[in-house]
Amino acid sequence: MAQLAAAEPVAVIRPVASRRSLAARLWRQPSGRAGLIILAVMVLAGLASLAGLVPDNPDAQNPAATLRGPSAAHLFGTDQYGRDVLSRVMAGTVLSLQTALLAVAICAVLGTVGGVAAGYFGGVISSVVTSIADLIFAIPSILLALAIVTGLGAGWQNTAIAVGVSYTPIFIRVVRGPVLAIRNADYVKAAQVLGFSRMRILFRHVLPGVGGILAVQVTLALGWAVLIEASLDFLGLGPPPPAATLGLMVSDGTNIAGIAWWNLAFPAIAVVLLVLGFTLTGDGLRDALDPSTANN
Amino acid sequence: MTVEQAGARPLAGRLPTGSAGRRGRALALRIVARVGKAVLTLVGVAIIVFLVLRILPGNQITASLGVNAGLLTKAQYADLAHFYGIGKPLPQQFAQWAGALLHGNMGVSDQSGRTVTSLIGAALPVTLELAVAAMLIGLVVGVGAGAIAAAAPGRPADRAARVVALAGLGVPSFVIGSGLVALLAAVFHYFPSSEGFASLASDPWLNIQQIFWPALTLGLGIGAAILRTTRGAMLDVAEQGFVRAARGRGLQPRLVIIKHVLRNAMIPILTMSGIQFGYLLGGTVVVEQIFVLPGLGRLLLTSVTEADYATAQGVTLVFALGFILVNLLTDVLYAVVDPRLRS
Amino acid sequence: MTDRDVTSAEPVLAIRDLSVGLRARSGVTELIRGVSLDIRPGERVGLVGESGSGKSLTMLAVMGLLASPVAVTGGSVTLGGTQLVGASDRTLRALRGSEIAMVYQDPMTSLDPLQRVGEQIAEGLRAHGVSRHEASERTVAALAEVQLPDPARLARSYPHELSGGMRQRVMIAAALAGNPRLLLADEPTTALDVTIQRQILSLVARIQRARNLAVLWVTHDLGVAAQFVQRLAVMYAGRVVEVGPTTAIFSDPQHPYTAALLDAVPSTTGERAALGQIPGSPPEPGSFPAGCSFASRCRQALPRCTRAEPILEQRPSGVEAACFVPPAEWRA
Repeated sequence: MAQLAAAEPVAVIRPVASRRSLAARLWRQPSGRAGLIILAVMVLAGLASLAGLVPDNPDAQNPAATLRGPSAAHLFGTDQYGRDVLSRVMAGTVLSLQTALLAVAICAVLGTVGGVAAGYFGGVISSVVTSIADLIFAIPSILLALAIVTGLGAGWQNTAIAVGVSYTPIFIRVVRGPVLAIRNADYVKAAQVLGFSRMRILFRHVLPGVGGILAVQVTLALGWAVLIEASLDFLGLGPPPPAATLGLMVSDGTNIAGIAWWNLAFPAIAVVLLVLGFTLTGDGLRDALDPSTANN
Repeated sequence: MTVEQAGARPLAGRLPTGSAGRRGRALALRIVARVGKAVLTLVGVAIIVFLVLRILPGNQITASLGVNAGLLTKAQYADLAHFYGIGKPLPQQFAQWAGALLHGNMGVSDQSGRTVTSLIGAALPVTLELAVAAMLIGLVVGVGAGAIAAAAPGRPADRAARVVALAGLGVPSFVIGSGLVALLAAVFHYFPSSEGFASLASDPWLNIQQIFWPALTLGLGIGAAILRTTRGAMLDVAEQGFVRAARGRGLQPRLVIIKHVLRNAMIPILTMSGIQFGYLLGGTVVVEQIFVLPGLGRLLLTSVTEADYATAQGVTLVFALGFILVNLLTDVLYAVVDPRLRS
Repeated sequence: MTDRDVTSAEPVLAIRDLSVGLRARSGVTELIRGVSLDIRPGERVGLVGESGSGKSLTMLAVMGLLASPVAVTGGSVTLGGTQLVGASDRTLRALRGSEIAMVYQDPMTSLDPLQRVGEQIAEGLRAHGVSRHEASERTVAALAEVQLPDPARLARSYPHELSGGMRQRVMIAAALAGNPRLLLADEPTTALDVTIQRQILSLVARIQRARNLAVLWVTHDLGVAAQFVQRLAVMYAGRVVEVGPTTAIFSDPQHPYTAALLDAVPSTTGERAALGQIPGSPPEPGSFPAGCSFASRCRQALPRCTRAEPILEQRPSGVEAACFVPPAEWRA
């Protein structure tokens, strides 16, 4: 690869790859830092909700205080049933996070197994796995999720399964390429020549090599899972009311936004923060792992 | 001087001679192979769609009758099962469906009693218009802003573009759509409804007004992704030797950017656009719901929630076909952009 | 070499005390430090040195093609009376491709893979106001001048259809099409195999003579320099350490670095010779030592070499060298 003449001396004086930990490098990336801060806030809000540290019971209706604007008593106001919007947003954040985590766990496991199998063993396994991935890819993911949710019924676990399955092809593609490259790398070939078992090579040499890419992909997938999960909730395919899902709250909030904007604004902001938090962290992680793209 | 003697000899190089006929045949062969793969994918999708909708618990009887299905006598149930084709082996069911499909018969919607073909025929133009408009908005916004950002990395325009791109990626289309609907209602007292939908043919001006906002909703997300790809690809290309060489020939910076940088960045931009088209199809489900457009997305959502298998299968197949066609188109465009892929 | 007397003519290009640095928040890292060089009409000048010595940067600085954050930090570059340092982009554009043209190191990446090669030559002409029709005629003529077969047809081919040597000929045609007075060549033969390398060298030599072109040829290959250039400047760590007639430098090097380079060349008959066989490595920009930059690798270094920095001085052999220790005092 021909380098720019001008880049030559620049490359020379670039500080030698810092031995700082990945977390520290992530924190030094502006996008990584912003993402981590946002995620910390959202996770803390979720944990507080799980611990019962909420202003009000998210499902407690109060006919005497419906559609109140933001105030000291109700920071985010109340909805048409008098429920506290802040408490519901916090509960919705928990639901979004747990769905996203389960969904990504599913697609990361399926995708890594599929991708490693396709990339490492090649041959028939590779063609079968990639063909299936291509097929799933040809069906828009939200449609696939739609069908799965409809079949399995509403509930956050089913939403997670739907989201996880539909994202699996992307994981397969992302993992397969580098595994293929690493398999053909000299040090892995050397290990083969030395007679190490395939599994040993796989776990000792190949998997650590794709760890960074996986970390980035998992983070980005979490953001994407929140987005799809919220979209499904929005379409009424998530957990049924009175469950406090952010998507459903946005949907309900839209109808009454003219008289009670806070019912639309706060759940919408929560979704945006979750998606942005993961996306920014994922971007930062990618840059932290690959110094050459850090400036782009 | 030995050097100059050597130089007097004309170059004994050969021009590319590959006959046009042979090259044309190779190209045709590749196109056939590519189309064949697309057809295979479509068949695979059809099988998956068919299986997913059959294997899932529940059937058309329980779906259309709900709890009342439990009140049926065995004879009644068997009658209905025969009517719906339940109980026949799956391959037979599939063969029946696929055979009919080849004749353009996608079955009859349980819910409306209309043929699925006619339902899709009515909804397709709406979604097609929406998708094309959204894609256009996404391409114009994404490539335009991406090019401006890449032309001056680190400058205010670049920073602004990156913030907008991030917002476009982080804000889901249902949030943008809901916000827009709320805003339109508050400012213009405009409420989307399916009653007044005007087709492009019957009332173009009203139709454009009705399509614009949903197209914008979808287009922003697409534009954000294309923007990021465009910017990154252009910055990569800008470091290539031929860009410096073009500047070294005295070309205007703008000409260098359009003619050399942007053109060479087109391959990743095309790839991203193809991927975004896939998301776009899914996005129509959400956006048509928000803006109450009588398109395929809404048809799919209603058919799925009402367990109207025939319709759901048909619409999903049409979506998959659209996705496959766009991938095919992307491949063709690759070859248009890059002469190396033509030979 | 049958060199005509070119020393009396006004220089086409005059580089004076040119400094190039990398600007960062923490300050400027110097990459080129006070380089001066003249090139006269019809003269072939070589610039040699290891990679990172600043020879390519010097060339890009002359072209005004340095990419931020690398920039000229001092000195001047005049092309036939026009000051290039600090000149407007419009002024530079008018000169690039018409008065001054450049051929690059890697013919594989210097041509846009998506455009026909003729178009890439013609676009440079059109940028200088040549009509479309005339540009295409001159393009074919330029391709013919670099001895490419069937130039009219070749103009319509794409870079990937051509071999490396053909591409480099196309690049030379593109550089010469605008009828420049000065040709800058940045290791244009390094990426090519030896036979092709010779052909290209002789081609450029022939055209250079025919047009009385001034050529600045950057290379790390002393064999190429010996064959091709009349005057030679040796760069080390961002400075010119020795400059003078090629024959004088080859027969009697005045700087230990030049001598070491020559020792590393198996023969001067045009065999390719790799540099870098001198023990140690050059100092990195930003950490240039006090005194002579070469002192730490130099077999002749004296204590004073690490304290003060030698400047270029005229030597009896007709070259200038920046060294405190004359060859007569060198240890074997």
